[in-house]
Amino acid sequence: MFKELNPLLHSELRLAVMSVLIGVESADFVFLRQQTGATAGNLSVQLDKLSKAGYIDVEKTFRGKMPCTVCRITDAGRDAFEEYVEALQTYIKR
Amino acid sequence: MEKKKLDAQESIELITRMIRNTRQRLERHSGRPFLVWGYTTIVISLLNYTLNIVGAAPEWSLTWFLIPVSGFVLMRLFPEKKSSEPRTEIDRIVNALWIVCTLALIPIFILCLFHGWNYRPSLFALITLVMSIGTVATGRIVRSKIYTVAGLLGMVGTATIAIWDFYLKQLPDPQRIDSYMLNNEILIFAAIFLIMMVIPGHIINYRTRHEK
Repeated sequence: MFKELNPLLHSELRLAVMSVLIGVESADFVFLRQQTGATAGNLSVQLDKLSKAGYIDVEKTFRGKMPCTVCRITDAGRDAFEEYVEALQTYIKR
Repeated sequence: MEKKKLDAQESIELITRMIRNTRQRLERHSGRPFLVWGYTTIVISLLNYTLNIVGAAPEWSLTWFLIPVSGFVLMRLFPEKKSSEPRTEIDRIVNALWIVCTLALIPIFILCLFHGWNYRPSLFALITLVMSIGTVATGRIVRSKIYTVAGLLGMVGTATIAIWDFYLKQLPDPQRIDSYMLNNEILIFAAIFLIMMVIPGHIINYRTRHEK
């Protein structure tokens, strides 16, 4: 029996962002862009969706005089990611 | 990266790739603390060597305590460049390791303060041993051959201090031990920091610069 894949995570960019954030304490917008290769606009939209779902915290701050957006995964996000990977395994094992 | 839907295999590959990329940074940007502490220790060691050779008053040996003071000041003055790279679990582990090593140095410095020259050879060896352990462990954690080898060479250097001390004690006529022979321990101490911290620090910095 297949488990349903969380639609919020089952999107290339959002999954990439969550995969990066799962391995770090926090990551800023520039790093996420470098890692995912996404455009700023697209990344911004997807971060907003993940944030509204409570999967990540987005903190807007400054590094020197430059604005800096720092993202970190929440406990809810970590749980959702684990559930997503478990659901994926049911597809792979088939 | 577009908003495309993935199949299960693509999802797994994406997750694996992202996690691997994030962890690839490992030894980058880690040269500066090694250079700051390495050079500070060498300069203060050579200062003390010179003071001992010219026969300065024993109170001048308090200048050894300039190592932690100068090191912390220099680390404040020349911090790591703020990059956009995130702090990973490996950064946290390496940081925790060096905090423990720093704490281990405190009782050694207290011993230096109270016992002065009496235990000097053992204290040099203790300091280099703690720093060697920190360096080898850092090398193993971040999978850096340079730091691992440097730390192991530091351990060899620590053994050299012990062997030199043993050699001095074996001399039939203690009167033959002059200040140059005693102070050679300071030179060995400085050489260990050159091999264990300064040279690897420069190599890592060179690599980091040429990666960009």
